[in-house]
Amino acid sequence: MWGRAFLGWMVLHRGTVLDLLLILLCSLVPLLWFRGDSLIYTGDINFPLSGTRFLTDVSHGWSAGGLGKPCSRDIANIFPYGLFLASCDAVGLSLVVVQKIVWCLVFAYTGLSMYFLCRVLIKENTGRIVGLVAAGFYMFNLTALMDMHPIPSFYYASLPLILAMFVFGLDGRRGAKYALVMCLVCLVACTEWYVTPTFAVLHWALILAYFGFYCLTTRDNEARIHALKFISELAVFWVLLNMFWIAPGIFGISNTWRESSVATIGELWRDTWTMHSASLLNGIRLQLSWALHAGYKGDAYFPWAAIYSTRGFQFLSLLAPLLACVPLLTRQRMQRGVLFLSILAVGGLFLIKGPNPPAGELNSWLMGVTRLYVPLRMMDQKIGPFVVLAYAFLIGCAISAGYEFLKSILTKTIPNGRKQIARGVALLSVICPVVLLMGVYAWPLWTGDIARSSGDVLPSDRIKVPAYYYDAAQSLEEQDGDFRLLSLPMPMVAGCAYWWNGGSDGCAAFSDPTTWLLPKATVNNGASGLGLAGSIASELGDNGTSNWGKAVALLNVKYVILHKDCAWQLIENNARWSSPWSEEAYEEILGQQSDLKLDQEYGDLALYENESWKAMHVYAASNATAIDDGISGMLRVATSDEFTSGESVLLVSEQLNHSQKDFFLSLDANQGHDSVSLSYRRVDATKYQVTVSNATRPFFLVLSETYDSGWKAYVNSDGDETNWIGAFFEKSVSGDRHFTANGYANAWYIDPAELEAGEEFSITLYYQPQSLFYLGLVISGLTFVGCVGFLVWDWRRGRRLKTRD
Amino acid sequence: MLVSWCGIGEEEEDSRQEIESSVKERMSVRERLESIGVFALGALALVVLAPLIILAIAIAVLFREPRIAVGMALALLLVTAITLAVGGKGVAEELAVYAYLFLAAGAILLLKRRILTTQGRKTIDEN
Repeated sequence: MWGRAFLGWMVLHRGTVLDLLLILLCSLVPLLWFRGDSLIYTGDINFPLSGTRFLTDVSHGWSAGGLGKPCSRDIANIFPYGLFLASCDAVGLSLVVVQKIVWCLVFAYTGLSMYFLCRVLIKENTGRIVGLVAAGFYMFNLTALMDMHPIPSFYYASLPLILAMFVFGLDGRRGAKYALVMCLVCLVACTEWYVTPTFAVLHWALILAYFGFYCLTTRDNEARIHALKFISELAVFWVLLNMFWIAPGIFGISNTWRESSVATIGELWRDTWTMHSASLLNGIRLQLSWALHAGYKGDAYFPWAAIYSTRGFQFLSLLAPLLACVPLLTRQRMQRGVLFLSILAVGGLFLIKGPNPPAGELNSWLMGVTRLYVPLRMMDQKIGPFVVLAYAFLIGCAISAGYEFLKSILTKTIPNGRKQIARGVALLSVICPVVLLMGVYAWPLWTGDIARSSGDVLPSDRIKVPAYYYDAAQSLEEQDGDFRLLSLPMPMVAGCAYWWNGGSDGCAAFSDPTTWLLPKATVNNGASGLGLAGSIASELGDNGTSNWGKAVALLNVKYVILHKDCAWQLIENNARWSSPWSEEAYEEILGQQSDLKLDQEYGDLALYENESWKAMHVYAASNATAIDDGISGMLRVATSDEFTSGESVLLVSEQLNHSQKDFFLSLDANQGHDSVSLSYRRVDATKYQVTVSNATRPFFLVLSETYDSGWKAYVNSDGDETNWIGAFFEKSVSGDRHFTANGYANAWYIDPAELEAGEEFSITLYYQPQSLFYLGLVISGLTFVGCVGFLVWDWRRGRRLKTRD
Repeated sequence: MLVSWCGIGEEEEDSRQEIESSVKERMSVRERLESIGVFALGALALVVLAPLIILAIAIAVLFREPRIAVGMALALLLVTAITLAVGGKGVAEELAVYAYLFLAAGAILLLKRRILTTQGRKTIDEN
């Protein structure tokens, strides 16, 4: 029965079905980008090489990678992206197949979402042409080329869908039930990209903008009241359903906001905002990215972009804005959709141009006062899609209007019986701009040139991980113990540069794919551990250091990995790398270190064992030393012969607050050196259960994860474990006794007598924001079950009533 | 942020300057003539367009006619495209600013009309 009904619907709407099939066919285009069994890996790509590990990682508010860092925001990755990747992993699909599926899906999503918006905004028959052209343009344009691919962006794809659903709800005066369905669809379709909460805010900005426009241009008050009610219901359901990432994510947002008030970081983000702003001319023709015609050491970031400087393409670049203006001159101009999206384009362009004229000072002032340059610092990626969305719809309208106009003229002039000729000629007026805009102008999307091949300096975007990584991983997997690896050469902030398989492929991306391959946490960027990793990496080779391993041991690093497969030409003399030397220089300096011994070589990977390493992920220290002359002073002490890692704790005075300094000075220097027996169990990335015995005197309990005030120590004299609910209510060790230790780690001063814990007790080290995630998950889960339950109940009730009637 | 980890560092600026200087050296006579042509075209465009722009602004302001503003934006964009095609990027940048201003004025005037229509002070036919 269902099948027949569906078939009937398809026959009835065969035009729409044909359009959808065409869009789905176009969404197979990403398959043309792949060569053999290589993955595409570049830029900010969010494609982990292990789906299962990714899901585990993003299910926790603390990332154990590197030296550990808060990642509450990453929780938004769980649904649906993380679950999808983990399922593919479980089924055993190869990574290339998964990547192909993801990109085809996102591409299809992009087109279908735009088509849906057009059909909602234009109810007449012309909606089909508008929808097809708009979907095509939204899939194949220069912004999509630069920013969406090869980074599949749910944000970009979901914008039209969100607007369409909202407009559909408002126009149809739909109620709470529709708001519920809309929120459920949004949960599946948009949440992944809320890892950057700005995208959630921008989704809501679009909804609110349309809401304001609707209220202004609606005749009756009743419609306004309904709109207000509808948007309120939507907001409540949305917040409840998304609570699982909103609750822990608030921590991440507040941290970012605090950081922006630090002058240097604020200035850096302001510079980023300026860099990512486009001139008005480039904004109008959607050449938004600064990197389009840029390069590095003679290699272009986008080798295909050179052709966009030729005359033909320069002229063609303004075809899109020219067409987008046309609907404002036709009868369509007073339509709500046309007017709203025109204003959206004008507003979007004003933001995208940043400090460039006109009114550049006004824009700078506004951004400065509101500090909007923090969330919107990458204007091209965040506001750019608004403009493309508006253009796509307006171009669709323009081409459709042209088609209708030509058809009507030709029908009048061509004698009867030859209507097909008139239609064919008019159709040509559609095909020509479509081919020019989406075919010729977006050619790298069709040919696969979008993924870069290797240049002289920059590696290819296509990667095939060399087999020796798996060999090294297997060897490291077999070793017991909680230790870390340190990767050299090390970028100061983030990134990687590999030259694999003789340069035929490689990787230069913001996220390092090898972190997914190695079984232990790898310190691979200088920003890790409050920047200590970078400071230590820069110490290598300075002042003839010969026992660098002792400094590295502070980070609980047992092996230093030298990547001989690094793209050396790229990093040499590059200030963004901690020690931008040659391969030979690295080998020579590492060879000079007395406590580093070349242990194994796997292909181009050299593993140096750190003989100064001592297991110190969680340890008790009876000795504490406060150091006045900063991190460099601490590293001097750490590399001295008197210092033994894993037994003492080093406190840098500039990392202590006043009360902590006073407290430290008040400590009795002769408290004794009785060794405290300690064992621990790692429950997950956010929780460690420590058992203490023989605690006759106070001691420092050190957790070698990056310092964060969210880490709490709960002392249980009865040996119990603090669970996530208890973490809200139970008393933890006071914040004044929570120190930054060894330049980056957490240390708590534990005084058994003061805590009345006796000599044997347990301590739960817990990252408290994780409890917010669990709480949010409960709220979201209950709302989800409630929503689905209500919808099913309502549907069944409707059917029952229908049958009764 | 696409490949911005490489960023625009000093090295890149150096290499960019090198590329620019080598490009300048290779500039042929034909290209020089072209740049003179672009200058002439830009000057002509400004001389011809300036009264038109003033006229359009006057009409748009006096009659509050959005279509004049949008039409002007369209015309300016077309001239921008031609200017770009012949290599006058600087002039094109200026023209794009004017085109944008006209477009913004047109969109705002249209919105105002739509609101007036909503309030019953104008009919759709009047628009």
